[in-house]
Amino acid sequence: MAAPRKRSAQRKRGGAQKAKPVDIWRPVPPVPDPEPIQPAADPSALLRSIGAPPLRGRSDMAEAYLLAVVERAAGLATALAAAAGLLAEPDPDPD
Amino acid sequence: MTDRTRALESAAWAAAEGIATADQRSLLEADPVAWRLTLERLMDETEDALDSVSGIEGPERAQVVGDFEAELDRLEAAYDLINRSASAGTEVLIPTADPTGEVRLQASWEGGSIVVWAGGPDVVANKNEELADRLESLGGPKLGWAVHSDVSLPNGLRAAALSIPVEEALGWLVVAVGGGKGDEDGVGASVRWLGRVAVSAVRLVARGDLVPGLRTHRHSDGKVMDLNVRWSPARVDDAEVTRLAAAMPGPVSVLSRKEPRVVTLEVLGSVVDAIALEAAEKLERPATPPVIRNAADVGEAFIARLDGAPFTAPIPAGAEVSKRLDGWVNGVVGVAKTTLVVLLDPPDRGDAWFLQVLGLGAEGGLLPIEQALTDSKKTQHLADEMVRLERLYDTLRRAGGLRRGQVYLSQDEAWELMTVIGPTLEVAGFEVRVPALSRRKPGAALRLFVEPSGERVVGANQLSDVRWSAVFGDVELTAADVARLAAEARPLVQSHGRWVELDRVDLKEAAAALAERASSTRMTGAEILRHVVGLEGTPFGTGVTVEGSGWVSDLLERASAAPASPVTKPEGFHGELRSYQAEALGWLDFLDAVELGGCLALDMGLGKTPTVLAHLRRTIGQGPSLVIAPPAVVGNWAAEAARFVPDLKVVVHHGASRASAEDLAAEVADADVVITTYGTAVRDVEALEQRTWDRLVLDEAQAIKNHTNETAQQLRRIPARTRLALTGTPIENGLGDLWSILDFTNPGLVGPRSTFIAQLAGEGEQALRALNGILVFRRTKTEPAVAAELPDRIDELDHCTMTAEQIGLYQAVLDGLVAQASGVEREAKQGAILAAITALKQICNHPWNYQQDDKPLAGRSGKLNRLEEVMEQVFESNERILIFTQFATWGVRLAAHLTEVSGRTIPCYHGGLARGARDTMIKEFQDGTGAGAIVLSLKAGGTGLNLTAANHVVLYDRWWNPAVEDQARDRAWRIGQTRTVLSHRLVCPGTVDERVEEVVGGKRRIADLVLPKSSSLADLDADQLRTALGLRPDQLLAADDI
Repeated sequence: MAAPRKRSAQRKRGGAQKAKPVDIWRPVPPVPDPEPIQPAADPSALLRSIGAPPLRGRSDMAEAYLLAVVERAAGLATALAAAAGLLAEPDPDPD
Repeated sequence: MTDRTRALESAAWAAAEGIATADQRSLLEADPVAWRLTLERLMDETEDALDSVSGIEGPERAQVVGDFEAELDRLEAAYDLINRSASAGTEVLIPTADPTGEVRLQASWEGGSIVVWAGGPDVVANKNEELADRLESLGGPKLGWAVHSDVSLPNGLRAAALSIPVEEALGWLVVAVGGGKGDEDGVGASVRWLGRVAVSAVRLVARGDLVPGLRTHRHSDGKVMDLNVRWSPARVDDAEVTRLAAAMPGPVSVLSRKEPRVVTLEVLGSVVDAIALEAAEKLERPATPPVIRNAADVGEAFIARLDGAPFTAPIPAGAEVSKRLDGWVNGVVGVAKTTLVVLLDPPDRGDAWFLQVLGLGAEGGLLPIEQALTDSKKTQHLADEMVRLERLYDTLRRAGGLRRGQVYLSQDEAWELMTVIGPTLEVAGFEVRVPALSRRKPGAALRLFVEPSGERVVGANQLSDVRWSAVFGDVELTAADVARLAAEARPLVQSHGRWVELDRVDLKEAAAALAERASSTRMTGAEILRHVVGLEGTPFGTGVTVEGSGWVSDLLERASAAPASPVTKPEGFHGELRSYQAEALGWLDFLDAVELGGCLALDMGLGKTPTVLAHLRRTIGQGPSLVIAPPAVVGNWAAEAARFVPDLKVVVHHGASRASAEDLAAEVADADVVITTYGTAVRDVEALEQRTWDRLVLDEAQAIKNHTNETAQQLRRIPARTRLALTGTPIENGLGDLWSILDFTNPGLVGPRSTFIAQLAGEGEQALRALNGILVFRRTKTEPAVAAELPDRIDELDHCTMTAEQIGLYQAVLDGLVAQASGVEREAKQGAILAAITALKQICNHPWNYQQDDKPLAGRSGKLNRLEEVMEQVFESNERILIFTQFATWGVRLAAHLTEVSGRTIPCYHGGLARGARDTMIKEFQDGTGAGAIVLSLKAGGTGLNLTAANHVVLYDRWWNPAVEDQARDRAWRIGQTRTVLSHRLVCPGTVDERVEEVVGGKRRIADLVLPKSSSLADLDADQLRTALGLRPDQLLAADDI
């Protein structure tokens, strides 16, 4: 592992107290390419796991609508992923 | 400074600036230590420079100091990145940045909207029109834009800007930018970054990682608030957010001035919300209550306004519902937290699978959940997670005397957990650890364990004790195992280290097959081999595998031990075999080693002859081989032997001048290969059967497809150590053909004909697969690996016989010419000779072509016989053929005859037809699919037509000029042809036909044909005429050889 440089920590800049302008063009680490997207077979599982929403008298109905929205949203996201060429190939035997 | 030091320094600077080239990146990545040391030196030097300029005075001081500070910042940033990568043990990241002086499309984030502008370091575009053009050229959204106030950059520049709500730009962001098209020139790093974050949001939604809530905004009157549904990301990967935030380019936050992590989470949230609201918008929902007074009304409005449309409610009611919803999703919203592990152990002896839930204890280790709930630092979180888990998987709440989070599962329940419920639990955020499983149905087969019984007999007659079992994947099951599994609700076995479910139908079939074979405990080698290749039936259509020892095991082992790199240049073979020919050579060696016969079934044109010649050369010295072939290819065998294996001693045994029965032994004594025809072999069978040949080869073995015919019966009398049949169409008329061939090559081995036909699985080519590599070696032109190696065109010369009728007519015409020519003038004599040459060529074609009689055509011409053979093979391959002749009248008659014998309409294209009829004929042929043929006159059809539907060409007779023939052949072999074109030229040896062939082949000139050094045909005397045009008995193939 690299040892930290000593000198840079000690450096003094001319006019050090003055705020420096923001360098918006400063180089940044590259963003890793996205992994293929594997849509969930059961996308409403997370929502089901927290149970029906706490809406008095409307919980069950609300849950049904929410699950429907999540299912449809997952379908929409899958379509977007497919159009972007980012959909993972299904693997019957994942390691 | 060395060149390397200089290069490293340049590369380190470029990388710090984010503009390193690919070569510079490679240089740095190859030696990170040198990179770090270089950066340290550059930082030291820059600090020294900074110290020295800090003392200067004057108006330029700030600029100079600022420049050095900026350089130092970049060097330090790159240095930090290297050290972080080294600490994390990850690949070294090289920074990226938009290049100086180049205007690119940039995007800034501003509270749910994307603000685009164009610019780069020290340069901007300041006109909206220019920005709009740039957006259009980069495929940006066409609608939804609004003019935004200019974006002020820190260096004082102002860029014209447009803004768009994120939901209007989803397709562009995700599909065009996130999908990789954002790498185009002109797209700035900020746009690419937003696309990349949008992709992460899409991933969350596709997994169902999103939860609803209510966003509130209180009115200033303090009585009511606006509310709207907002969907938030759940179980967000913290490490990914950190990575994305670290990579956020400065232009993204130039308007919001927020920290990268905050911006990253905002973008993720907005994209998730946009997708969910669009989904909700399409959902039919109940109506919103007309007046919202209390929490119940807010709940109703929440459902009605799932599309995000705002509604107003009294503050107490709105706040209450909003707070309740926040609490409801609290455990899963935002960054993913440590959760529970669902662990399934493999079954015990009683097939019970133990499942337990584990949680993180105070010491960081996993503990049974009941223990973790008392030990952990986050007991409430664990308890909430357990409730969540039990809600999804209520089997965990089953009463049964075990501790909380522990339960025994049946096979059925375990499989359901592994295949269905497990993935659901993972989607909900739980870690599921189950034994490895496979959803692939394991292949089922029967297995024979074979052990020689100890008797001394070897080979196909060797007796062995056998034991049957069924095999699923790599799992061998006895009849008892099969019966036990068949009785289970969910028959699971472990195959190749993974649990798999066996098919109940397969189990039932295996049970029946094993019961049926239970009494078969002793078999001969031949019987075992028949089981192996599926000739004795199999419940799974895959044959039977063999374990143990004995003749069949040895045979199969050798068959599967084909070399990885087959020999393409075998010793003594002057040429190079194609890959499939080299494989065939390996198979022939295998047959030779196990003394088994076989059928080399390469498609027509794939080179069976050179392959067998290479094999004969490899086995030189084992004794002579006898090759029996149709007369048309005997010459080809001899020519290819001389070309490819010149040191093989080849004897052609046919024709009137062949060795007598008495002399045959002496002729064969020194030979390696004796080539003869079917007719000669049958006639001389008594002489040929006097010795045991090392190998008997039947070329175009469809000649014996009828096992009852005279040829097939007589040839069986010729003894040989092994027998080899060559054919491109082993199943021309069905599996009976194949049986005849295989029963000839290995008498008795493949069992009775009826059983063979009944048991061989599948039809046609599919049936050959079971036998391929053992008794048959099959390759077709349609196999991509074979097609890839084939040349565009293969030209073959077929030597054809002359019938007695043809010979008689030929002789009569020649005699007439000699008589006529003796007493006429030079010009008349020359005309008579040319007319006679034409007549002789017509006779070689067919007697009808010369005298146009009323008799049927069949059996009167060797050429016609050969054409029918070729056409049969072409039709068998479901392909199309062009047949050219220079005689149009003959072409019409020939087409009618071929139509009659083939049962397919075969037209004749010639100049006597109207233009429209000709065009229609060509179009129909070209548009047709499957087997087909067309006869064409060389003059009318030899040029201009496109007939690429055909990939076979027969030049029925020869024309003087080879260019004319090439043009005819090129009707099929031209642009648009995707297959190899096989061209046959038909020639009658020992006739004028062959002398035309010599002219066409460039070996002679037309004038030389009749009289070398003569300037005129008319100078020929009678003897010279007979020499030039007469029959040559030593070369002639008589028709009784057909």
